[in-house]
Amino acid sequence: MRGDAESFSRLCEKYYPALVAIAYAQLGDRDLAEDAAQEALLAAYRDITRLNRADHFSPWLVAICRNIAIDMAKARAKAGQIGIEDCSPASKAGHHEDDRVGIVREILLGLEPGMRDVVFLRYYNQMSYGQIAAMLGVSEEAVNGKLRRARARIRQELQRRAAMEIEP
Amino acid sequence: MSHTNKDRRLDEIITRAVDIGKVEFDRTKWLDRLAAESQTPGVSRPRTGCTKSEPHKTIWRTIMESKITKYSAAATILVAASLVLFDPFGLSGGRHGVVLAEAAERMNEVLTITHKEKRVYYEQGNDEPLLRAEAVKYISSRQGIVEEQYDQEGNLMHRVYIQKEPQQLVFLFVKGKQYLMMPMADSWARLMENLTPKGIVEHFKAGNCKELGPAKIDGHDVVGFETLDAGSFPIPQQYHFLFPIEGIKWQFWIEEKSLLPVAIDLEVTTGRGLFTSFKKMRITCHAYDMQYDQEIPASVFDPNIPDDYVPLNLESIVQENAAWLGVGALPVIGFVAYRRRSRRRGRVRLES
Repeated sequence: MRGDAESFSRLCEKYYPALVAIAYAQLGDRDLAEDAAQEALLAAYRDITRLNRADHFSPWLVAICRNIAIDMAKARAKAGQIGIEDCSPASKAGHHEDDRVGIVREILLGLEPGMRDVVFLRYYNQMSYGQIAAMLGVSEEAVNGKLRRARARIRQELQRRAAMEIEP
Repeated sequence: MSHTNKDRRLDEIITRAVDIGKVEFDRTKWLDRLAAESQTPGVSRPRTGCTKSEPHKTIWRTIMESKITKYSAAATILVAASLVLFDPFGLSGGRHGVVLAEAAERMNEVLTITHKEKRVYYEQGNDEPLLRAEAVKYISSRQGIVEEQYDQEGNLMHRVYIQKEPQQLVFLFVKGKQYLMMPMADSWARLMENLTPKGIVEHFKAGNCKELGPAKIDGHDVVGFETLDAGSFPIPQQYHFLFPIEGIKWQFWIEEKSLLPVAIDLEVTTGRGLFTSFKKMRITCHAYDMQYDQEIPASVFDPNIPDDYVPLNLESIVQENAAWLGVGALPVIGFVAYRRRSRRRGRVRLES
């Protein structure tokens, strides 16, 4: 048992940073994101025998992690603790942060979760389109499309806000 | 600043925005946590998406969040609704009531459903169909619902996504290379309240449902139920001009052995509406090949909108023979069009 767990834990090392990014995209809190990623790996280890197709491992793992992160976010919101927005990257953007970086963090919150996942995997984990596609179980075209739309949304929103600042 | 430089600058900003610092997997901590958990029986477990024993509490709501799935999925809901209707626990020796009760219980445990549908569209009074189509549906408690409709030659006509995260509808119309993406706002949810299980149950308390008795379908020993009701699709009055439902007849068949539905038949009749091309329609649908708790790849639920698709607008909806868009698309498009029409008064040309 311990031996299996150790073997599995080596597999975990490969996926952990991406899972943290996926969870962070939902939670906006690094500590919680790490908890969610660890929890996902525990859940995957428990249920690995129920996975019918080995080639679905990473999308399956990502789905577990995302679900855990969503449940955590909901639980916190329900308990009246800090909400998703409040613990978001945007709210952590201090006064010393570059304004545009802070704005981009806000914009990221408004993106659909699937798009946010792709942005984090690409820009934080520095994964290639092929790696992201394999990780999420989607096509490279889908990854490309999501990234393109995400970048367009960010660019448009930055331009809109810049225009608002210029207006008297 | 050149275009390339702008792109590079944007990439830099995004990279900074998502920078949460370096993370490393702590193997020792994880192994300790695993060991601690294995010594703590009864610890709550997160969903892994393939646990068959986990009760599924939200599938009714998932299915009924959109009118799209109403036609085929509500027959499943009726299993639960009929539980109240028949009051099986109050019936002495009511065999079918027990069947329904147990079926409802089984359905509550289901996480995923896939099934096929044969659909035939007729103009009332004409036995020659306007369209025959095949559809495949994937329903997941977590990820939502996907429907694909094919013509008789096997060409994909449309694909519909009802997503849970984010809560939105995505239509891909293959023929015109168009798509429609819209959030399901709270107002929608309010509109749909009478389509929730509770609403259905309240409605059918006043309705009638009869048993069809035992039968054999696709080699399965089944028990059948039928209900005739126009009000089970309660489109608000102000939308009747779009898709006026006049009557629905449901039949659903529950396998005696597994106590799960194996087939659903329904027939819908409509009045003349904008999205029936001002024809009185009769639509029949046979849902079959029900698969429960099969693993569905996550990619199925991912609407990958091709680059050459353009947003669907009202004019194209009107110009399209709406009846050909399929049962699934009609009610939702109707609702969308109504809203857009309100904003674009005078711009709509009605074409039959």
